[in-house]
Amino acid sequence: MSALTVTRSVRRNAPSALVLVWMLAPLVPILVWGFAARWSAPAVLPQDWGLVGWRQALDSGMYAALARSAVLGLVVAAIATPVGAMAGRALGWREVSYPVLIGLVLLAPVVLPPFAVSMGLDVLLLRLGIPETLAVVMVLVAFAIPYTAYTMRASYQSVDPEVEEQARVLGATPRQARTRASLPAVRSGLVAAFALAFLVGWSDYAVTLLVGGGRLITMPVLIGATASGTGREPALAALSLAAVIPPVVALGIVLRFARRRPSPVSIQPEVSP
Amino acid sequence: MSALTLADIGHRYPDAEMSTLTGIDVDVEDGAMLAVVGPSGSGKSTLLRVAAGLQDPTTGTVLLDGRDVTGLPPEQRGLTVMFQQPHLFTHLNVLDNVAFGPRLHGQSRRTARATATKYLDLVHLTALARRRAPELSGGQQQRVALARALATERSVLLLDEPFSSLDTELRAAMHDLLAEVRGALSPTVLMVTHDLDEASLADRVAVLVEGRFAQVGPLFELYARPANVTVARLLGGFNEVPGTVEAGRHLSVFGEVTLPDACAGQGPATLLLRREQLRLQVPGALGVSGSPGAPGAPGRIVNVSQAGPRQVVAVEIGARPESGSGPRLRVEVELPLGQRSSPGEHVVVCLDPSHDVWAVDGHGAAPSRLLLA
Repeated sequence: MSALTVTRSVRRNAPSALVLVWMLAPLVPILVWGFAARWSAPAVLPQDWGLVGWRQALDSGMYAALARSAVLGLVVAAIATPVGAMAGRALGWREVSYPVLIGLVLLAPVVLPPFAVSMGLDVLLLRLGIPETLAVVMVLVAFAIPYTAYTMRASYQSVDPEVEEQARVLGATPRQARTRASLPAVRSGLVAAFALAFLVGWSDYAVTLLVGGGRLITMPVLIGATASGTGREPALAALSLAAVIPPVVALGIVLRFARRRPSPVSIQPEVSP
Repeated sequence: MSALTLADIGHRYPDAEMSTLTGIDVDVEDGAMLAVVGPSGSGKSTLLRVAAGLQDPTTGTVLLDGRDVTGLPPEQRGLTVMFQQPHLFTHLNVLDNVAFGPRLHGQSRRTARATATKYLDLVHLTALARRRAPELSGGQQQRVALARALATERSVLLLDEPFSSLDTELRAAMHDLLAEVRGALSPTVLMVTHDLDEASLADRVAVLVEGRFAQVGPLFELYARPANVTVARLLGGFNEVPGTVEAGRHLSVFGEVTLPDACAGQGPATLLLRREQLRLQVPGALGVSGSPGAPGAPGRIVNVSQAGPRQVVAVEIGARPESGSGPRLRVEVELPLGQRSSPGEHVVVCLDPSHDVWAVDGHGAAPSRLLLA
């Protein structure tokens, strides 16, 4: 391999490598802590290595918290994605009046401070007698819908609404036109929206804690509780590492579908050969 | 029986002041092709959408093989549409795009693909069956879209400016393909287009102006006898010569022109002369001004342009006192091959006596009644 080839390869891959370093750098300390038995300042590396952190994490209920977070994320995504898809379609294809106003209403849960919204909704939901877990799901869905709706709006904007009319004149019912023509065309957007909604449910702390009344122990709540103690850095690191895995998997799935995203087909004027 | 009948179709968008379509009546015979031409905004696409069931008419009925389908959704009408954009389904390959309709009609995947293969073969794209839509060129995409529409095996095919996005050469190839498909399958076709070359593929052409049919007939008939000035302007290539009709003769700067028997009536009338109906001669030449059978008008060439191998000259003609028309008239003349002229030349514009002439009543842009007996 010539020096020129090496230089070109380094130049080509340097930006990606820098992004990777930027993303992974914060994980290095917790990765080390996760496998440290004793690590006192000012040592650069732990004095003793071990799995004490993981044992403490398991003892504190890590598996159950992982399962609760996963279920919460999936339920939130399962509700927020179709709702966001409908909203995104209506906004992207201009099927509603006052799209700007509707867009602002959808954005409200994200624009307002989550603690303030959670406190206000907590009082309201308690008065309505809605069970805590259901209340958490409802509030998180409201928080996730802006992400799903805006993701789907962008997806629908890249697809010509006439694609459904095309399906209709080929013999499709309105439902078939959606399921066989337009939804497959926005498939990558659906995957991204689902992943984002899942992450909203997975990573939430404030709503789960406040609206859930501290009884719904998810991974963020468990990490928060662990972080409030002292001398529990190995357990905190192990929990944090475990909590990172699903978002990374979700990101991988989104990137995979983003690469396969079909481009809208339209004829551009072309010159015959 | 007509395969497709549009009876007294009217359409108006909510809150619109004007109707998009008014009193549209037309039959398309089984296996025939009707082209609807008209300027932008004349209601062509709305008419097609009403026929397809994508839009409800305000008045009138749509009949398919005598069956009233006015209230039916598109999928229950028994017709199919090919739009200007191919709208190929990007998640499917070419074969499955074409098999889309047959699958919806209950065919198994294997049978639907066999059907699709047959129609892909008809448009000469069998080799690309496994390709994805974005990998195809514009012409190939439109071929797939045509095959997909045909694969529904519905008797009526609606075409909405299907080839207007293609360049001239590809469009000509698609015209050949459409003719081939018509020969093989004899579908009933309603096509809207603004391209008169495309319209020439049809058995009959309907001229839509401001939501009404101004004239319906074979294209050659439209060129020979346009119903009014608006139709003539849409077809292009006509000179409008104002004058008056008296006792079967048109009086204008060209003098007295005897009109065919089909023209009747009295009063102001516009003589419609195609630019190839006129000849240029130099003043004083034998058989020009004043010679019987070859009315002529002196003028001066103000512009020369090229239309293919022939020159088209614009001549400004002075008024004749007896014509009662405006002071100057500008006409275009297509010269025979080999004849050449230059701006500034003084010439006499003559009518070629071998061509029939045609006149419609009234002057100007307003649609006028045809001077037919």
